Amino acid sequence: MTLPLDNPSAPAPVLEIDDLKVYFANRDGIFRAVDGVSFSLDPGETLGIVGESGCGKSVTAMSVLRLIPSPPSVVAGGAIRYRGTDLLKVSERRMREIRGNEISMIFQDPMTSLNPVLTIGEQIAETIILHQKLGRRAAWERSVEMLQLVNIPEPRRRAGEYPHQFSGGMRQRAMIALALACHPNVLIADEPSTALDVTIQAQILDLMLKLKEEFGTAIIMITHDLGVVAETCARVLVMYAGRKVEEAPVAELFSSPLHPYTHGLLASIPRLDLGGAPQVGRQRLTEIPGMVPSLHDRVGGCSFAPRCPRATAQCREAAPPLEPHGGGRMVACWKPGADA
Amino acid sequence: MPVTLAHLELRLESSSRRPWLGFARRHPLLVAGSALLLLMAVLALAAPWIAAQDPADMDILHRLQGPSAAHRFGTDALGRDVFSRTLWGGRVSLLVGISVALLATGAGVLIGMVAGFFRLADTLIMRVMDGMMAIPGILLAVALMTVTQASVRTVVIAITVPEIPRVVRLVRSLVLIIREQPYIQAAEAVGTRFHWLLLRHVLPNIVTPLIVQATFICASAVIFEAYLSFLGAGTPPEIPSWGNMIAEGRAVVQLAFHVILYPGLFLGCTVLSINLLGDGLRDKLDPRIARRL
Repeated sequence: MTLPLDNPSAPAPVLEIDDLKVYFANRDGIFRAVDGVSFSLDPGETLGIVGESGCGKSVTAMSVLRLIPSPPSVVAGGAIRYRGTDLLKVSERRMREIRGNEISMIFQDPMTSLNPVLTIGEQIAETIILHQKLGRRAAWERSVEMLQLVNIPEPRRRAGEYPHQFSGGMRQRAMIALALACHPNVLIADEPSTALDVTIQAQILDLMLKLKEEFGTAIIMITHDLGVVAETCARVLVMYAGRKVEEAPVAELFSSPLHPYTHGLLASIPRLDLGGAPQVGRQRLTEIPGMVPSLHDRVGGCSFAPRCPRATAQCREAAPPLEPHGGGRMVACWKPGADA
Repeated sequence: MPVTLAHLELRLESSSRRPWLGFARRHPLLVAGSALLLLMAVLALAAPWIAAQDPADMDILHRLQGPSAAHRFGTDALGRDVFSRTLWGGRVSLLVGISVALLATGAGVLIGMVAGFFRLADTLIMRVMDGMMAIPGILLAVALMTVTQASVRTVVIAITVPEIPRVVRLVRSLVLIIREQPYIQAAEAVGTRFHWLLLRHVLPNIVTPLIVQATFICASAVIFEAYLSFLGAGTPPEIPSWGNMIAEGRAVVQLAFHVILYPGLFLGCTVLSINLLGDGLRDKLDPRIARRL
């Protein structure tokens, strides 16, 4: 693997998303799933993307690999630069070489993302053969090695087994082995631990971080679980209704969220250290009132305004621009601040 | 009766000592069906050696004789040996059954996959298939036979064509389900090519129901061949086939029942064996019931 050598203190980003717009067109109109999202990913970095269901996290991720069928989707604008090349402009053939080899993906549900009729070893070996100049035998050996690396016991025997013979956690580890088999530069993990129980979640996240160190892979961690973000990411991007509303280093985001949406997300985490005193009894969780707005017809103004406790007339009239807020932070809000 | 651990251990032990017996106990239909079908196939294939008489040899002096040492199944209206004709007839039936099953399944998979993956082709293909299904199979086959010259090959084609739409519908519906599965997208996400996606990731997932469907097509083709021959629109009369024999024997059924008894019996056994095999395969290949001890 070659890393850019020109400026070691500020390495060139391995992936740059620039004002990406992905729209879906259907009978009801245009659905702006991703509406002008920008971010960059440095080599070896872990970037978290959080937001509730339907905010465009997955669509952003899938667009990077150009896996969203078109039609109905249209990339309406922007660029996805992988080491300087715009992936939206390369041929389908080059794109296939990149998928799984240079940029790879882990899906949410390990129960359904492995093919039930092929053995685990075959599935990993197939990806290796597809991208590397390796014979069947060598590819098989490599897949056994990968299974060993993700802590599958008896990898040689297990490689010959089918997905239904694996437990959920083992399947997700097999998926990680599959995704990392060709040592990609970027790994997109779309809610990799959501479908697993909590102890297994921790194992899977630890494993991903360990392998990240080993291979120098940059990770985009897509999740709605702020606990996962706190544990794994260095930098976080908060998305709301197809837009980036806040970006910050993880510690700052947790200690002083600027956007009221981020504030609401953090406030809705159950806490054991507060309100746990016996005399207080059960306390209701704080929630963000309302629903994500329809992405069909965007009215002027901030899309979070209808749910926002700080909303003013200004918020309802004009959408706030995304502006730097010092210390590598960015926020799109007219009234940013730590307290609501 | 409640199954105790001791029972399970006992069964496990007996099945590991005599694996064949355990298999037969778990899949009685499969074993019975394949044994019967194997017997039919051996009799048909070994016809030249088992049956001494030429099936076309006429012996007018000994016509319509009952079963005897010289003619095990008796003789027909032209004095031909029913035993030898029945065995030779099995060759036609099995040949037609297997060819139709392979051809109809092969064509159906090809057309069904195209329909399942390409929306534009789908509309066109499925309307044509609907049209074909609206015509009764036997009529379509008879119509096809009348415009072609009667031979075993044309019989196979005439039976295959009406069977294709059913396979197409099955394959299309399976492909529509499977192509939406996350593992297909996952395969795409590692850079798998389209044709490889179809061959390696989609096709193996539909093989099981296809095999089962193919056995039922095979059984129905055997019956179909007999229908067509009975109606005089099937296998040319100089070739002995069960349908031909029953058609010819119909005129003399009150004098010599054995002329239609034996081909009818063989026909019934063959169809039964293929259906048993199909049921057994379905049980064996369905993972929900296949894991039982």
